[in-house]
Amino acid sequence: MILSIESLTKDYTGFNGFREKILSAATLGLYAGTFRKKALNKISLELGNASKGEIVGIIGPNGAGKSTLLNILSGILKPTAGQIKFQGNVRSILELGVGFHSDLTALENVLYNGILWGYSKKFLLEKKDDLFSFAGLSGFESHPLNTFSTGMQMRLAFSLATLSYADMLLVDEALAVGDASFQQKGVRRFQSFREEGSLVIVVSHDIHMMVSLCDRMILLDQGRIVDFGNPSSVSERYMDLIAEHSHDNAQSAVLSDKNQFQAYLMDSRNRKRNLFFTKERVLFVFEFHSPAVLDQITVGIHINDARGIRVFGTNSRLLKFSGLQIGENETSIFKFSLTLNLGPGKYSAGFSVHRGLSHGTDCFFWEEGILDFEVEQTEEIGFEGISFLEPELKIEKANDASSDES
Amino acid sequence: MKKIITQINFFKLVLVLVKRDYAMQYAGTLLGLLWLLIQYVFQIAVYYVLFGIVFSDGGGRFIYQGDYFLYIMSGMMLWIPVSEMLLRSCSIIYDNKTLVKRTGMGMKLFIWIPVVQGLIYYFLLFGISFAAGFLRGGLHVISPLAVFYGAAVILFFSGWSFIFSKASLILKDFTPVMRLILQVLFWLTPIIYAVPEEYQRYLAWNPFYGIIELNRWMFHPSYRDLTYVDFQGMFALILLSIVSFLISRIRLESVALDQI
Repeated sequence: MILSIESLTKDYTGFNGFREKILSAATLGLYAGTFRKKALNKISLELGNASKGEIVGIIGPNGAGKSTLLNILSGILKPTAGQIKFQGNVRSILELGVGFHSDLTALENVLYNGILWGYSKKFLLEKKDDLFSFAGLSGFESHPLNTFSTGMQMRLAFSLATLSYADMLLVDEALAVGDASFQQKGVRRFQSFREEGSLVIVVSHDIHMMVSLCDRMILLDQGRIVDFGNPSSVSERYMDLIAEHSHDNAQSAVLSDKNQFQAYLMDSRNRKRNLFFTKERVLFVFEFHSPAVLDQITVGIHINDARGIRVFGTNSRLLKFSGLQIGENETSIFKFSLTLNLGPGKYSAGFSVHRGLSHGTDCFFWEEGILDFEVEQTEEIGFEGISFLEPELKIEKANDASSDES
Repeated sequence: MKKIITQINFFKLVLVLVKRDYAMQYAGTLLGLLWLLIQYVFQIAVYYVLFGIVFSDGGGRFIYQGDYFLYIMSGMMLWIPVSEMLLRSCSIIYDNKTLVKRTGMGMKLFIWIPVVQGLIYYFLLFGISFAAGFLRGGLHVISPLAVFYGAAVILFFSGWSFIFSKASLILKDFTPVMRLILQVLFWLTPIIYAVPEEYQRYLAWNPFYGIIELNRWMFHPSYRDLTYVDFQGMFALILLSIVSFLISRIRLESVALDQI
């Protein structure tokens, strides 16, 4: 399924005050008010694949145009200019509101909404057990929806929307309210859609889930495509973008010059290395020079795996070092000592300097992937997966008090 | 052929939504949809008792002196569906905002709900009126044909219903304003009372006057001679409707959609 978007532009119309609203209603929309907001600016893209499906993620800060793009693709909004070419059926789960009515029972809502989504009543009745079971709501069919939590409603909506194959599935933050196990089920369902040839477009603020899920990602900012392609590099660009935005807000680009910092890894014998073994104690060293006084700062470190998934992150504030200060023209060295309880593979580390708990506000420095390193598994430690959780096994026999440990 | 199937499927969906709308309104009630019927029958019965029985002697020439049952039914059978349709159209999109976003056909689909409901009310009230009129006597052989006129009137006003459903997204005050206008129009139109001939010229520009009088004449032709009725209000409304419809086609939908 191929989706082709050419020079897509969306300008929202709006009103400054009641006088404009009255005038617009009285002229039946001829007068469209004076407020304008450009949500999408000449976006051109080709998504999907002629031979197989694809999962594409859209990320970006609030107001970037992500939801507008999905609304236009689903046919809810009309673009101001540009063209969209796609042949096939489209199903969407947009926003957290699911369109269910609280006074109707879960099954009634499923039937009414399902028919609206293009399912036949017969099909819905045949599949209702699967649907409720996937949502983890078996036995709740005849319960009024006002007895359901938001998460339960969302699970039901998700289960309904993905009950059968769609050529294009648009999902906006639909997994945000589900618990971890439901998120995993949702991800598996997206993957099965892709295997069947569907184009799945997902919007989410959960970057790590997106990196692991998507084949390609789009980074939108202020209605334009900033980056498009490999999820790992797009997510890194997104982190940089957030830092740039908070940089602008802080107006304190004191550490933006890359010559003002150095980073390296050291083992327990103070040797600089880039290859380590699982369970090894490693120092992540970050030196930087500040041309101006920085007070109340937080210094952070984050480690990503090869897919761009964040495996660990911490900062001085979380480690109970509050209110750090660096003087003018002072070089400070920060050493984070970590035990690499990681599975074998390639990793990268980044550092940040900001105020507060996260780099979303007053960010002075943010750099992804400054250090690349590799972890290997030793023969004495055998395990599977991305982390080593220092397992212990205790076996007890029910009939006698003796026990063995290994 | 494909287009016809698409249209059929479209109206099947509209019917599902109409059913859902009623299910939502009457969910959890003992009598369900029967309340709809009870509400209208009770409303008409109150007017009948007041204007047809209590004030029948003291109301002077403002009380219809012929078969008052046929008089009030032939007025209400058209007024109720039209007014309900116009009023519901002002809130239909807003009430179903989240569901509108579930389907690409959203707005196009939902604006038909009040129209179908208007037609349901009309056929229901026409059926009751016709059955009661037939049992009482007083109907004419062409009376059943009035159903086509009534349905045509509803479809004519559906154009306004579409416009109001979109315009009300721009200005949310549309619903209370519409309720007010309909109240005024109801009492300015001889639906439950009669108007002596010397006052009828004051009603000339009320479009509902001509529309209701025409319906009365079609439902029971012996009611009155229509040559005394002024239809300029009705014709002015038709002209205004054509112009408004053409203007609304330009950008009303896109401006309204931006407000959802």
